Amino acid sequence: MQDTERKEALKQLKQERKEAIKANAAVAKQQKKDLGRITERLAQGPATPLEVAQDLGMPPKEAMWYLAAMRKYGIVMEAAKSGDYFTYELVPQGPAAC
Amino acid sequence: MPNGDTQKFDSLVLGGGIAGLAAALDLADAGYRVAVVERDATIGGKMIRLSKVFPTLDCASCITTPKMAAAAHHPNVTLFTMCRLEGAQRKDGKLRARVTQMPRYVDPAKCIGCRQCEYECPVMVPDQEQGGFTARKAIYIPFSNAIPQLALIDRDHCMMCGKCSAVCPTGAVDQLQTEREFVIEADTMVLATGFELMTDFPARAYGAPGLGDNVISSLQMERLLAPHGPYMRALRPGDGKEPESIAFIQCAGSRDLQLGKPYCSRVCCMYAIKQAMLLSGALPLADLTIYYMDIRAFGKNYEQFYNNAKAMGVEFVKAKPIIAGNNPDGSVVLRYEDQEGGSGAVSREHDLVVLSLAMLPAFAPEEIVPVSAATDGFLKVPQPKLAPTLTEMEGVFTCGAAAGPKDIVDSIAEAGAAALGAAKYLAAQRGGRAA
Repeated sequence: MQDTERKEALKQLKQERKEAIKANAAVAKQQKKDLGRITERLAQGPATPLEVAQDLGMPPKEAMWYLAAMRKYGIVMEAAKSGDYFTYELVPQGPAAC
Repeated sequence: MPNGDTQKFDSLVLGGGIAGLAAALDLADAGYRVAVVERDATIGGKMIRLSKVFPTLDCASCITTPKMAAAAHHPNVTLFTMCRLEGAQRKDGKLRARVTQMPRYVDPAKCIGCRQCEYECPVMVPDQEQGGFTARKAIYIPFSNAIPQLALIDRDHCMMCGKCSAVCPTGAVDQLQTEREFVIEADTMVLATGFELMTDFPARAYGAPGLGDNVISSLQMERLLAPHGPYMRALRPGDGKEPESIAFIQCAGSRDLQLGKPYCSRVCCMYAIKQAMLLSGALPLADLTIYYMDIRAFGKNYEQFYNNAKAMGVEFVKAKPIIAGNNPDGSVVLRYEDQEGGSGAVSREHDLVVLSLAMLPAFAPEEIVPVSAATDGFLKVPQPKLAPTLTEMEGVFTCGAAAGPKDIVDSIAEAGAAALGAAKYLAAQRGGRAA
């Protein structure tokens, strides 16, 4: 397929998937916002998932999910334990992966 | 390979789990050319997703990965991932299987598995390979030891931003890929389609509308226990608490006539005991309770394994609890009739509850392969005693959990029997000559 044909086909595909792309973009936007808030919170010091959830007003399960994802992609790491919970802190100069 | 192409093999193995791979390798080692058709993006099946195996407590990944690699590198084995069998019929003595390969939206010839696309992608999606407890991206490699080590795009979540294309060093991203149909022609087939866990949790028995954040399935617990799990330690998914009390509910869906699953899933007792033992090592202070109907420890060294668990302090309670509710602190309330203690109805709270869910067939043969399913939904084997791997179709064999719930030991043994059956059939087709 020629470059011009390819560009045209991609354009058409985007048009066909317009609604799905819009919905997925909205999800990604919210995720970026949430990640930013968690990063800001952790910049103040290590926190447990419960503390992150309480401080940011998000369900604890969601905070845990984000922290696990941020750990997977090298943004946060596990830190000291606080009671029954582990705290998480930012990886110094971690890659901007999420 | 162009659309509509026909590829010729001696045998087709449907399913790239441990049973399918074992059968494929046995046939390939005997000199036969084998096509392995797998619906997932990676081979390895359920076993590669486990933490350790009972009763030896071997690392599942450590013993599955070499089999996966052996299949991938064997000169007589060709792997077809992300493929769906549309139909298989015998015509003029040859088995003709119509296969559809789903698009990866990544060119497998160009992808080098560097994961730069995954790191760059801005969309996070619950990672089902990790029980949904963490995220993957809309473009991703399923897991670190997936085979083939190729990225794929989850089109349902992709926003076509182009960041993956921009960062890919080999220009492998191809959003215009489409489904591809082709035919595999072979003399024999081995159906190794495995199982799925029940997902429509029985609300009647286990609470409605939701079970709560801290009620998980046994396969999710496998991921929590795996060295490369979502948290790299056993934590409660609802809030990250290190659980002090963990309960297992056995026969969750199995042996239940009202749910239409009257059969025993055969592996749940042993994997619950295994998980409890692993948890007792990871969390020495945690209380571990297994609520059971009967303990079925039928295999070699299984009874000893059960006794070891009891000696390690795992509590066994003969009861069939219901999930009565969830407390604000995330703990789960169970309610059950104390069958042995005589205390009547009892309520107990646990930080985390694991449901040992029923195994269900992963493949319905209707209108795809002319073999039938038994009343339990698993493949029917006409001679279950003397030839448990034979199916109703000439030259078609089965192994592993495709024909019924089975543990890894029995699946591997059956895979060898199915491969031998297929090899005998192939030799007979060629006038008694082996490969």
